[in-house]
Amino acid sequence: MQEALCSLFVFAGGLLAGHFGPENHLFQVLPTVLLLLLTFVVGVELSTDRSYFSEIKKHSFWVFALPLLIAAGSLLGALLANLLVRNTSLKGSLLVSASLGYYSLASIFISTQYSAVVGGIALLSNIMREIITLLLAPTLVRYFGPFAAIASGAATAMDITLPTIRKAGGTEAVYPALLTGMVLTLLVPILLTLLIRL
Amino acid sequence: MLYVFFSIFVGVAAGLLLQHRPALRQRIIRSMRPLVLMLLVVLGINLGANPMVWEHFGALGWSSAVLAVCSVAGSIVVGSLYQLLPNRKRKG
Repeated sequence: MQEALCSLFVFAGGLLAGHFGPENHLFQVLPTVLLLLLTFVVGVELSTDRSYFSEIKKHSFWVFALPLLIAAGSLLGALLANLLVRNTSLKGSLLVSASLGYYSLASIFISTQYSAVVGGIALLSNIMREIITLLLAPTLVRYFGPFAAIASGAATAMDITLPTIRKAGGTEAVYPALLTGMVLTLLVPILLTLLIRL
Repeated sequence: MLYVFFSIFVGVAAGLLLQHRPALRQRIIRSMRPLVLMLLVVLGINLGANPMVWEHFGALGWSSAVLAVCSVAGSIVVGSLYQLLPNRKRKG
């Protein structure tokens, strides 16, 4: 929660600096450089934990159905949202929902490859998604079943929202959450690339 | 856009090569948070310099909230189908 709010404040500080500060062309190039550095670090982090493979063997390949269903549901949610708000294009809405909570990578990806405004919406919307998970995980599990908190956290289920998911869904929720987070972390850039090319 | 996947792949390869130097690997992983914060500042600066964002600030906030709620709801509803799948866990 603290981390999500800190991200929000830092982003708001940047917004104000951009509005009142002088223009600098360095800020046009910097996002791509930072994106490359961030994806490199994500790769290093993914290489550290190989316990996923033994869990896949134990749970069978059905375990991959959970992240795929979560991603499909998020995209269906974008279709619904597009009926309610008309100021974002369908493609923009799909890109925001396909970010699956992974706001750092997705917002910069969308900003550099599609539109800075949609990238900003992706950032805000996915920070909100994280906050919803952190605040409502126990309620979601109580009313919608053991995987609801994982579905809500999506890609963040492997890190930021994991302690909340474990508290709400018990220890049996931990490995599905880790696997879902890992699969969705890898799926986000693939989905965004496909959607941008649509 | 392929460079993003290439960068992730290089990161995984570097992580595997550095498995005998866990301190250095951890230092790289810990750089993620400062990188994300830098990224948020730069993203904010680029957006803040765009007058359209300030003109439609309320609408963008509203869109973000609706998209967040609908995405979460969609993921929960479709994700709950997972419980209906047969033979999720192997026996033994």
